[in-house]
Amino acid sequence: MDQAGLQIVSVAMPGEARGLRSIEMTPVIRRLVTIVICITAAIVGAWLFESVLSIGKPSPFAHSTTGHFMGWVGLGLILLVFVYPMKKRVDRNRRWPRNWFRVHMVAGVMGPLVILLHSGAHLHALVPLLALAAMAVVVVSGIVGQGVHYLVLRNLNDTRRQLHDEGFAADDVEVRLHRMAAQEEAFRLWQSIHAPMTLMFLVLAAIHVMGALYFGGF
Amino acid sequence: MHYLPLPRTVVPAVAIATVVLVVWLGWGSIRDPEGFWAPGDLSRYHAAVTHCMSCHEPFRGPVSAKCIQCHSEAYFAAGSTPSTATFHRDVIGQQQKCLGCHTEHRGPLANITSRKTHHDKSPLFSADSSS
Repeated sequence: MDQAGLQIVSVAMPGEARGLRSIEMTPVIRRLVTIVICITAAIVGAWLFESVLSIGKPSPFAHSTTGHFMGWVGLGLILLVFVYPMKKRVDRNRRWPRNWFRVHMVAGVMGPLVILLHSGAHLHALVPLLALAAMAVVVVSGIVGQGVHYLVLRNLNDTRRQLHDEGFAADDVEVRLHRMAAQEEAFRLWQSIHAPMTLMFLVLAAIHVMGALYFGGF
Repeated sequence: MHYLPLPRTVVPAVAIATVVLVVWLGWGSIRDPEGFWAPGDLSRYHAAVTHCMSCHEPFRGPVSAKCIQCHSEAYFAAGSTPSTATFHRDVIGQQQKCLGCHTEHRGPLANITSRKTHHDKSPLFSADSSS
């Protein structure tokens, strides 16, 4: 079967000619690896940038007035993310809010990046650390959902439609798509993480903000 | 693209986990407030301080009024040079914040005195005093 979701892409390595094993990745795995690399680079990049901003300062940038202001900016961007799910749920009869979904994706990445500048790599207190971890879980699950699960689901639906058009019986189609369906079911986990974990993130973020105001003042 | 609805147990499970987490944070905030809330360990100079409210005023942050409860006129007279005592008396008299120069929660080995602010003009950190 030469479907997009099952297609094996061989990445020829220089060592292949010398008898070393080549790395074989499906488009899905390749997308997943790309996402992991991008997320890691974004975290390291943001924290390195915060370190550069801290050079020559008595306190880290994250603990400065500007660093605290970054927290409010990040929070504002993150709150912007919630317009999309609210519009989607409130106006069920209206058209899918495509533009708000774009805002959801952009603000959902930019907000957490600003929060990484606000936190820096200074992970000491448990409350903000847990809020940061919950934010990471929500963001990563959202990116995996849009970047990987969407790809898997689209490939599965396209392949199913194609097999039906070729005249295969419904049962036969499902047997042939068993592997793709299992993969789609596995990546569907993002749904069970992304929205529900937002609740935990919001509670932890609220506790962090209240604690920061209580101990740090306005 | 239509997605399947979430399993019914997911949201209650996360809600219960959140409640448990909040209770644990409340308990931990009483037992170990520094570990749960402080952005870093106190310096070795303030290692003996255990209560947050020894330095922090609720919703006002660390205030100079709390600092001078320990770092009083008598404290400076007993352990500092006259120029140091005079300088700090003047700074407090000008309503300047102690935090302008002395920052905390930067680890046990941190130097909690910044020399790049108004201390540049002080006799404490002049070329003569550093030699």
